[in-house]
Amino acid sequence: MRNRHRRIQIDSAVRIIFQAVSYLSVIALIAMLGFVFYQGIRPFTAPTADQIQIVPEHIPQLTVNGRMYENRRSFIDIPMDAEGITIEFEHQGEHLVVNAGIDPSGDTWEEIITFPPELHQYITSPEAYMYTIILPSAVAGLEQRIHIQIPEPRQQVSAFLLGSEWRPVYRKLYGILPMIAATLLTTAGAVLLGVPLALLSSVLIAEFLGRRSASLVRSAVDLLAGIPSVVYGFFGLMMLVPLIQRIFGSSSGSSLLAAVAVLSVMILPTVISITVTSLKAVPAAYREASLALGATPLQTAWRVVFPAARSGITASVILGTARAVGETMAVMLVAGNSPQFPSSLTDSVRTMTATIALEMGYSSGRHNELLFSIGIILFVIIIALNAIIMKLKTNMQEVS
Amino acid sequence: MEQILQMTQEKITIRDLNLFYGDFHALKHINMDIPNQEITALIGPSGCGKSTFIRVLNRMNDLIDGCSTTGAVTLDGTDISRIDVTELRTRVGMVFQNPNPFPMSIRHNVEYGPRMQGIRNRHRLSEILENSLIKAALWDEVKDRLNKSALSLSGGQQQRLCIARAIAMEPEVILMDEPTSALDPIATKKIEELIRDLKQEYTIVIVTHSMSQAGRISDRTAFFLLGEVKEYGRTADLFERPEHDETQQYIQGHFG
Amino acid sequence: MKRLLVLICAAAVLGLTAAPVFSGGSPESETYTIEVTGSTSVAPLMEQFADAYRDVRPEVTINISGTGSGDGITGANTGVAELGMSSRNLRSAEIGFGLDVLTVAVDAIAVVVHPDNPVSDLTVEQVRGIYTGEITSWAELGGDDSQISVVSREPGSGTRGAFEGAVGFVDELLAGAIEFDGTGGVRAAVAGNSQAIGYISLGSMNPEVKAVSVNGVEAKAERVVDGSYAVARPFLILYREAQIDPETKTFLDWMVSAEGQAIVSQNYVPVQ
Repeated sequence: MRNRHRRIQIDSAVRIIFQAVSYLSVIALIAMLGFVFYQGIRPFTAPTADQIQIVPEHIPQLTVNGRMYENRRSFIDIPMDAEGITIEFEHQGEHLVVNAGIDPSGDTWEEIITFPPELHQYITSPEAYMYTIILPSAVAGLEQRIHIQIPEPRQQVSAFLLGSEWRPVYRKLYGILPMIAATLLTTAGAVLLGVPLALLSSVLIAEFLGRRSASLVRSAVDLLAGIPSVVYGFFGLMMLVPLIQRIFGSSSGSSLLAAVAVLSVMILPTVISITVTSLKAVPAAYREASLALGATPLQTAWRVVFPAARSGITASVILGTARAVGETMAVMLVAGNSPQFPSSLTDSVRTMTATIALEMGYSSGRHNELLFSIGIILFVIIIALNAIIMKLKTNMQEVS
Repeated sequence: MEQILQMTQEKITIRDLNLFYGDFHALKHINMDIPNQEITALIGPSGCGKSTFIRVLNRMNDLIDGCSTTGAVTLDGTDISRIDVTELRTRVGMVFQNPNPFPMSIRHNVEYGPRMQGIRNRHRLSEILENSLIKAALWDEVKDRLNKSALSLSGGQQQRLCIARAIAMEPEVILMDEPTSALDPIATKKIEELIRDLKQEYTIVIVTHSMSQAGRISDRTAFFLLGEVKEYGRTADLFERPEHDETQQYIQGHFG
Repeated sequence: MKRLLVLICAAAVLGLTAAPVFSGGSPESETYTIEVTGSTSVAPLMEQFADAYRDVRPEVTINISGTGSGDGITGANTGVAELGMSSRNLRSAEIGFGLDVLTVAVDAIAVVVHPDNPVSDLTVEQVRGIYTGEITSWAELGGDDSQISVVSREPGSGTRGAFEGAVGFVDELLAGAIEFDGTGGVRAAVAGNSQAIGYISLGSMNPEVKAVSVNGVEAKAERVVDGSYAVARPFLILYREAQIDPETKTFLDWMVSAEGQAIVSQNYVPVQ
């Protein structure tokens, strides 16, 4: 009796753990979506800061708009609605006053702050939205500098999606159209090249090969699915890239073509395994009926079995497409990663996933947030593909 | 029996047919002559080999691994192993136990066979479609929805569609493997009427589980038992004066 | 009973996640771990420092992760790592973080080509021309009549920032240039393509690639010291003086000591 009681307790404990674990995937998805969206939406909703920021270098004491700072090494904020900026400090024993006007309604960042002409020779702009006033010094490396940072305005969605220049570090140009194009082109290429191959091998495995050779080919396909993508990439880099360079005589083999070739092999296992499963699920009665009507086995496979498995095959193609969209490492190794519109198959391209992987470790501020925005776009593409599969599944249920 | 065979013209002759699944001897020393434009019923208990036998006639057993035959089967005097298998199947059509229309439109189901034979002419295909459906007594029911999915038809309609699909090939022989076992009595009655009508043009071999069906529609009946043909003759004779005790017992429902 | 089980499970999960936190602060252990993160270019030097420092203070472990200069600066700023590594000077926006900066070495950036490439000397203007797309054929530079394959690092890379700054084409890289992450990636791309040109840290040179001289000056540590080799950048360590452990401070001092700089001078330019 006691023993039985304990078994019930263990049972309910196990059930609780199972429940908790099964919800974990939902929690993980929500957490990830939330994180990516929180980071990725921000550039489109607000400027990088609400105020102009100033930071001095090698200036022990300075006064900004009447307030005095000593040994200041972090940002001094100046509200956008301030009348202007007045900075006073000692330079080589002289009392210097730097005046600048603020016009928050300026169209471009260059128009927001205006400096008096006598100052122009000291002003540099090492990157967009940034001025550095450099004052000469007798000792190299100890020049007094004042950095003035202007907030970047709200990022325009159209400029992000349709911009063709990706120069995120200094020029602050964040157009990802070349990357979108590259992702679409590599995916389309991989699907065009890989899917027919995969479908042919699927028909061969499901309809024509004997049991032993079919299982041999299937295990090869399954093994192909298990190879880490970096190995595909490495193989592509070492074998395919030099080959393409030699064949096409281009300056480098790292290209759209290399990415397409590697990806089309990578989607084979996904497409083949699902297609074979759905071909095998076609009732034997259809095959018998077709053969009994004097159709050849090839006609039977092509005209009867294939159409009957259409939903499953479409699902497999979409899953393969999703794999191609999401693949990062292998593509990064062979595509060359130039953020440009390719004009030929041998041009180097950079996909959206590669951009995130390449730059995440090196980015900061808006550049970093916009990498998350690219993540959102990938998310949307994958969700759309999944929605198609869901629709197909309901269609399939209605038919059967 | 010798007399009967001399009087009619044989469409199919079977001489000393043996069939093996691996080591298993499934059909033993079968000798039969199937006459032209008659209905031959094959009866017998489950597992007696009647379905296996019917599948020998259009070589559907070729698809099964480890299946081998000895002896000779001829169609109009030609050994069927020497006829190209796809040609043989256009001459010997088949209707299966469960209605198995393809998951496509009614039109495409009927046109499938002719299309596979390379007929592309739309006019010709429409003609075949209409003729076949009329012969299968389905035309009036489906003529307004030829482009609808065949799976939307009822079970009886689906089976008649399968018959139409077989007829579309203009075969000489139609093999039917328990064509009504999955159907209700009304649908069964319709199919039986249809089979009787088809006799005018085709030689029909039908496997059936139902003694009364064999009695109602067939001209000849063969009784199979444990892979052998125990008795073969005119249906009326076989039912009224069986030569063997096993036949008698089976007909009276003692086993099977 | 059910509730008790849930509590036990929760406690177990908490215990597992919290364990490292507790062990890190245990008073009986005398060991200390310094977390260092950042530039992939500085990381090899930091590895050498860590190896040598094991003999100086065996109780100190130095954990190095090479992820990128941007990561190093952010890591030091947010306190994820005690020390950040950067292979470029801080950008204006990063100066405002108020980090303390220690320069531990100066590194030359070598412009490299395939060993079979006959070109062995380029001017800064020619390098700029190649990287901005004005010069597209090796023939224009006295080499074979073949197209130049321009190899660069990814945007935000310290090496790229320093290289573009030194050569003078900040963010004007030709759009068709091939971009690789990491010094190793660039080196492998140049080693495998006789038409390629790239740039890597002098400390990461190996015989698979050939360094060309710039303005007639060989890419060598001595030429950086006398100021004649122009394409150089500092290796920086970033930290917050007020927040680091005394043990870390000792390590910082050791890196710029004579002993530490002796290690630097094997492959890089010492700062003193």
